[in-house]
Amino acid sequence: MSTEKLPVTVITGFLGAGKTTLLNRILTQDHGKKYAVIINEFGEEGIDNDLVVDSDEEIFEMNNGCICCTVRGDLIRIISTLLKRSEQLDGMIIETTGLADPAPVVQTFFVDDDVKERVKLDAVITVVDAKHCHEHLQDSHEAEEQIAFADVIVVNKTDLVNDSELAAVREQIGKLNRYAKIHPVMQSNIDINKVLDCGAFDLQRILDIEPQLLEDEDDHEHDESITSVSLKTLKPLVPEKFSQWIREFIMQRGVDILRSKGILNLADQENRYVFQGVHMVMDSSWGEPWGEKARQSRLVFIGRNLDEKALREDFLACTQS
Amino acid sequence: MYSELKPLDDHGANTLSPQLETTEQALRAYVTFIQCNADAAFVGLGDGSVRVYALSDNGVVNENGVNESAVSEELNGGPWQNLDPSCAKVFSAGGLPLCAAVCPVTQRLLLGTDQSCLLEVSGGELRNKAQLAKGWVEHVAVSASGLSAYASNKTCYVLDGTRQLCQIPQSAGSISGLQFSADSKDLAIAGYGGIGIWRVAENKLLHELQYPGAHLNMRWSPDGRYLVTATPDKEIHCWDLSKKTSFRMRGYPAKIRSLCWSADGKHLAAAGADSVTVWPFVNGNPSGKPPYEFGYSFEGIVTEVAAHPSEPIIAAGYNNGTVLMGRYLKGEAIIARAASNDAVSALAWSGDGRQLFVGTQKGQLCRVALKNPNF
Repeated sequence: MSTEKLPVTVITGFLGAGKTTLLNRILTQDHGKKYAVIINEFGEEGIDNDLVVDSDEEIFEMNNGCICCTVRGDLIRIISTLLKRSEQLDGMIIETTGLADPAPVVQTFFVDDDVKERVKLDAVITVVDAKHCHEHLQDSHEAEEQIAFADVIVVNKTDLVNDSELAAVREQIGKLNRYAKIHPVMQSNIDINKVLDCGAFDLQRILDIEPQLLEDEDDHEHDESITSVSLKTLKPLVPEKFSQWIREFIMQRGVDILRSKGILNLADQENRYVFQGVHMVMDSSWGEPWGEKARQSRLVFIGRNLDEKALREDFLACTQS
Repeated sequence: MYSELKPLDDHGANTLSPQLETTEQALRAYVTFIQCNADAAFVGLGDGSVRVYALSDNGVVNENGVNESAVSEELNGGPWQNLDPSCAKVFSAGGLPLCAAVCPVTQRLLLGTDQSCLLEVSGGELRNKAQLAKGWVEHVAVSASGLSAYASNKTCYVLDGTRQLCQIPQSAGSISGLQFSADSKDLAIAGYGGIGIWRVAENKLLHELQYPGAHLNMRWSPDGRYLVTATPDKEIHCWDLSKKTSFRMRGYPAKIRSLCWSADGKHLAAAGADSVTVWPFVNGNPSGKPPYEFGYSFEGIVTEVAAHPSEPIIAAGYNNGTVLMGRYLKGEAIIARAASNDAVSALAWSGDGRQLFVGTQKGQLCRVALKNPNF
């Protein structure tokens, strides 16, 4: 209700990329904050925190006939229970296993009423091993998806690669996800403010901080299966046209769309219209008023087999003529 | 105090007499459960405590929350008197109290915590009845014959006193509900993909009721014929055991956080909408019949429902703190508590139906006394 929502950070990344080390670095920094940590399994390396909850990944399929609409039942249960404790928390951190699909985790924050009311997803952080990034991406579908889902990417172990190798890693990440903030680090050493309560999941907030984030580079390649597409226009959108188009597109292509985010300039509206989606699950609301800012609609899709030209045409067809 | 009764929503005339007396106390911790035995109400809180309130205004309950004349037992300490609304006794649960039930035979409270234990109020304290190596004890159930069952993660344990009768592992995910049949012979165990009905004495699975997806808030109808659950798709799923069929009740805009059967066992009340919906199971199942409804103009979503123990009355709590008592057959209701911008998280009637206890997420505890039982 009126209470401020608790930020939740999701940390993904391949086995050995340094997730647990990153987690411990975050927790032991001198920030005076209290976090609950939810992990999938107790690893060899202990978690340095008072409140650690061990969970079994339980994927709940929804029965409404959509195969990609899944949530994490264990997270719903654990998050709702943690919120009953009197102890004041500053946030929650969820560490997923190396093989976890990030989609059900993220969708949990859109779908379950108890979770939605009390907490908000702050950022999906993906830890990448600079040395082994290339082979992980070649061998595994999950590694690709973890990068595609990220709002923040921590490229770890940069001491094990040279400058040109690091540049190659950045390029490879950029092909999958052009919009995530990349932080190269050594030994998982990072300033807590770059990963916790940074609002990276919130497109509006992140664009205010980094307006260039969605700027296009015009050298798109289409050889990668996962790509990102950014659309923008200053022409106001006709709400009915846009909502019909986006609904049909998500219905037909939801399986392929890993993430969608948008800030929209709807005709005759003072406020921005903001939405977030994972596969077919979407969440939208009214954002801040446009005020003096340029009323530019921006829309981002990260997914498989995206036809940028066709998407742009369809999107622009939703504007006022 | 909310003694002033407001006019009802336009759905029903305000014909019920304003015979309520409401007292309220700020406990400042999430109310996780409220359970009543014959003499006391037990309130579980997010700060790890369990509070006990005597039901009678000048009632005397002993340190176990039991009226001494009802159960004879050697007591360690003397009886205490409860001065309403001050709390009679505070127990420490040593962790977050997650679930609770009152044993009908001993009148004792059993509760599960996030510290892997099942506790029992006994000898004036909360004592360990069972301790697991790890996990949260999230579900507990008691049978009319005095058996108890509790569940943690994917395993359910059945106890007779402190003796373990059986241990029932589930393969398909965490257990999401437990309930004994009215004859105490069978235990229904809800989980991912449906419900298993277990014959306790033979330690054997009798029936498997399958339906894809998660099943929460399981409730068995008092006649044993129907089992209902709430699904994440905002539907009620119902199995008819006599016809071996199942069907759904749909149209809920929000998560169905609570379900209960009416006193006559012929009506099912549900949360999850901006009104209280009560499905009729009179002359067969409710297929093709609309539910009874009341209380739809309170600008909130119903989060908790609790059936009066003998009258056709449902108490309902909303996510904005409103509490109503409604005679669902007539579509009439009275306001028992005004909106407070704080969701109702627990509701329980005393066994005689003369008092209703309300707990909220922000830690308000409210006692609503019915001066006239025939309101």
